[in-house]
Amino acid sequence: MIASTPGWSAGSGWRKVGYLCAYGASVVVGSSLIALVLIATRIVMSHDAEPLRVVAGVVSIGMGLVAVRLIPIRLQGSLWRVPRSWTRFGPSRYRMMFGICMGTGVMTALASPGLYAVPGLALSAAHLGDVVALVYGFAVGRTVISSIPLFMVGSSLGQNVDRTAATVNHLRWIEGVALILLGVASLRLSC
Amino acid sequence: MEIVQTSRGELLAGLLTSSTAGVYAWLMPAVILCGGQWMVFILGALGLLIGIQGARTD
Repeated sequence: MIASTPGWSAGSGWRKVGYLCAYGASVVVGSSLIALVLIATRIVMSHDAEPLRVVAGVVSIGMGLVAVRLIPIRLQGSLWRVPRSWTRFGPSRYRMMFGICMGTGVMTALASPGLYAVPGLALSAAHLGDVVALVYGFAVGRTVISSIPLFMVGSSLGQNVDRTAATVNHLRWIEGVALILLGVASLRLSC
Repeated sequence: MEIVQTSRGELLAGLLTSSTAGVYAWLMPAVILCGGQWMVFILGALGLLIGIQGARTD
């Protein structure tokens, strides 16, 4: 298990809600940075999206197969982690920096193999709204799932994180199917 | 009979899991049938799902 944020469950009641709001807002900031990069790249590359759709389709299908573990490889992503030493900046600033790093989705351990398919799907999307939906959907999911263990009772925060992760792990099948079908759709649109 | 106590967090996680599954079950065929018109919903749901999968990486 990768440790949860130090002091994550500190405070109670409205203070805890305040911390979560700050974290959620920071995740949105991090996701916005990625959205800006993707949209800027998409604008620059807008002349010919067809070849990219083929690549995005193939990668999406491949990552779907990885998600359902038909291709048994483990994609870790970045080995960098948010340094715990950053807690010296204080709890609020630390949570905000942590949230921004989590919001980018790529600075730390990967949430899912599906993240490898995100750039291709975003860059070959038909509309900018598709990119926005994809990126901010990620921000919402990441914030919500970080909040759930804080409201679970009867165990330590680390155990609650593990139980939550075990529950949502079943979703990898749906994600895998979604990625495969999106890949097929992307290939179909490229024809 | 065993009585299992469920916390609010577990209920929320279960609700999230089943609702996301439901969204996919209903919207996924639309990707193929509508030729990308529903892509914004599907991509948004995919982003949500990928974010949710980050439960342990936090």
